[in-house]
Amino acid sequence: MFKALFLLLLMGYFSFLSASSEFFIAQPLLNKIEKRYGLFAKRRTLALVDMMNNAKDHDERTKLTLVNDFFNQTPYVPDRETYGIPDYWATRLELIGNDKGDCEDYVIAKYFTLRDLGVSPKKLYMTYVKLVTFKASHLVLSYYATPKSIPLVLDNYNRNILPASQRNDLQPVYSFTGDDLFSAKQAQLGKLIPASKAQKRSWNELVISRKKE
Amino acid sequence: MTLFKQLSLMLTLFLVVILVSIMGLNFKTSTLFVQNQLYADAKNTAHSLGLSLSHVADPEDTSTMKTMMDAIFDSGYYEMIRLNDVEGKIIYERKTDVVVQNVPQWFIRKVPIENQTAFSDIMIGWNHFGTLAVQGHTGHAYQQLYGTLMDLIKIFCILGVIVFAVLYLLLSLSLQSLKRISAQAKGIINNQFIFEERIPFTTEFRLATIAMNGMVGKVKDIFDREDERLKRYHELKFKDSESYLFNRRYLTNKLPDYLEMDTSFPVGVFILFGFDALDRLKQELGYEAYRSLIVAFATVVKGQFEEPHTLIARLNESDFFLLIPSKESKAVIRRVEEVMRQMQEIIIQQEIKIIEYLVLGCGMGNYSQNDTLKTLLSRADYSLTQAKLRHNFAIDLNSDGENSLILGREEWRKEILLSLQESRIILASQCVLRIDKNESEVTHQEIFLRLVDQNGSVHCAGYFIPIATSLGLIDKLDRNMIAQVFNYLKTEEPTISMALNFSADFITKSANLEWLMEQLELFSRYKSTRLCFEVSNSIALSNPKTVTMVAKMVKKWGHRFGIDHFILPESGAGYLQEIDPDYVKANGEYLVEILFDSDSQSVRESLHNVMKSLNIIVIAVMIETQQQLKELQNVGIKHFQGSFIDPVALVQHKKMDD
Repeated sequence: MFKALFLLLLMGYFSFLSASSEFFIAQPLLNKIEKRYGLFAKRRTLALVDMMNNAKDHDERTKLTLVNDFFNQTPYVPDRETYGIPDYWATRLELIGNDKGDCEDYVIAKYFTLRDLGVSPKKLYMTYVKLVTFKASHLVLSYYATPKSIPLVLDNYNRNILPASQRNDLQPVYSFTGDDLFSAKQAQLGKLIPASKAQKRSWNELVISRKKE
Repeated sequence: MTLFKQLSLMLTLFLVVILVSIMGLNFKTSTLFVQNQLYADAKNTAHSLGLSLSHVADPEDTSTMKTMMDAIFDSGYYEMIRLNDVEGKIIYERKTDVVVQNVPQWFIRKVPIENQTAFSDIMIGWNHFGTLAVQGHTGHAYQQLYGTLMDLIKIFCILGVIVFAVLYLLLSLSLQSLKRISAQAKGIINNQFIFEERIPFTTEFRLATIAMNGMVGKVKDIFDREDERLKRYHELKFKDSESYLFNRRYLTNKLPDYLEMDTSFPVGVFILFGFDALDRLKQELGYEAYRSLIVAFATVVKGQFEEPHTLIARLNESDFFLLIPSKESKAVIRRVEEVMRQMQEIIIQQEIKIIEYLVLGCGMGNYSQNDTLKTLLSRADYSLTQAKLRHNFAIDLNSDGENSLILGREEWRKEILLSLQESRIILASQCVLRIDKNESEVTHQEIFLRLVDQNGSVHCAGYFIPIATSLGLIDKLDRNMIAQVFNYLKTEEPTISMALNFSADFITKSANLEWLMEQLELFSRYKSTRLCFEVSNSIALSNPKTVTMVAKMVKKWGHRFGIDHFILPESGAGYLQEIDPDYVKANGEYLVEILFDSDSQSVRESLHNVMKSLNIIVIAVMIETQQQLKELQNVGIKHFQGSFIDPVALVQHKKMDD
């Protein structure tokens, strides 16, 4: 009886926190972003925070749309042009700062933003797919509302969020959870993530916190 | 514990700690690496197998999936591979027990390996099919780790041996100079003046060596200076400036040592040479002629009679006295005749005319312990007068003491051997006291031999020792004395140390020394009593090497060594430094002469300084009166022996009195 009451209270506290607490970025970090990437980058970051504050009280489907739309505004540029190497996994900060990226950069940014917005990482998968039309390898973010449901696909190529069953242009190959991809151990072992020196930085280097009210 | 041992122990501990720490860290790193490797391998398998399972066209066809899992499980090192559906229900599982060959159980118990399970989600198309769990096999990891540990131990053992060998070499090298310092320090303790020529490289050792050299130098300087002063004073006091022979004063001082009952010297030959009309010679031929005649005479006499125990002294301008212990007049008369013949030749060569008025006579005879300085000189004087009355270069043989040998030589031999057999040689003793202000304590008691004759009368050493010496039986008597003392000490518990005298014959025969060594070794097994061993000054001077060896030998067993009848020789006190005795015994009269400066009425410190620098105690012997004791106390002597201090008494009698 007491246990149930305690759980109820705890849930109430979290819903209160998510409903009321605002996202913000610490001023020193903002200054750093401005210094490193310029004023526009700072504005883009603030726009991200605004978007998150706007999305935070909506349902998960709306959160998906808002986040997908926000990051899909970033122009697609291959890694070779941006970073001078064939494959580079950029962090959310690098994507916003440089204002360009390729498929995995969108996936990473969307994944961390949705996590910040309270979407369970268990529902989010990074899926290697084959673009049937272009016969090319691609990475998308899949959202599973339940373990058995058909996932929604968050893609930078087709900017609409569609159920996977409607994405005949994509042929799924394999999926990983975000934890799998970003766990420090795997990063250190350099297995799933290219073991370039430049990759040895925190995935969550753009820290967006919530105010305690 | 020596410094070498301490350093070795410290470095060993240090090295062991370092090696064990490195080994521990290394092993920990290896363990972590193996653990990570185990997880990474499991993860790789989970993903690659997961990818393969995702491509099975029909989700209902679990048989293909199981086959795939079996193939991977059987071909690799896995503890478990399991496939769960979305709801967590096990679809298929393969497991194996961990059996590790060639790795001891204690190792598996002591080294826990965290075997993490790697997971991978299986998607068939866009659909979530389930989760694949893979756990690597720890057996492989344990084998790898155990191998690593064994390799580490081997390498560290080899390293340890090499490091210890190098360490030992380096320590031995750097501590060599310390060994020399230690030898020098021991030398200083033993009153030896060792000057270390090789100055060590290590700063601290260098300073210590320089300081010790400085100290040794200073002490040696004091010793040399005082020794030189003492020698000079000795010469002034006891030497005749014309003949360089000893003077009357020396004879007066020394004679009591010869006539003492308990030495081998109380019998022997005295000779008195006397010139007449030396004044006329001086007047007619001048001082130089007179002097050269005296020097020539001294040379001739020395040439004939100079032996370790012979005493030659010039009594006055014209008389020369000789004392040859342990000899009979018959044995030396030829040498006296030779002196007379040579002198005759010298005088004739110098100036034939002198022979008309210059008379040289010689009176000689046997002396015994019954003689005193006074009787001896009057007998010699009488005999010399008789000789001079006869003719120039005449020799008179005084027969007053001829009956000193009651028995014939062979009879004496039999008597001494028989007395040894019948235990008629008994012990007597006399105490040596340390008297400081009003307090006195017995330091030791000197042991003497006494002979009980067939009639039961007890005779002093002087009665039989001289003849025993001349018969070559003295070392037998010495052995008998040592054995008697050791036997006595076996049963008795005397609180006072005993002093035993060695004869020259005893210490010069190696068989005797070997025997002594055995006896001392045996004695040390059942007694820790400290004894004293003594030799006479003349033995120490004539056999310095043997005496040094004997002194070292007795000191090795914790006993003390002393020199009896001490009188400073012409060569100075250097020999004492070699022998390093604990004490010297000197005639009280002699000590007063050498220590008391009659000009300034004060104490001459030279002898004290020399003895102090060598850490030698001076014992005044033959103290017969209160007056003597007082005089010696005034000149700083604290140890005394003599009839006034404690009369000689038989050891057994003393025991009974107690």
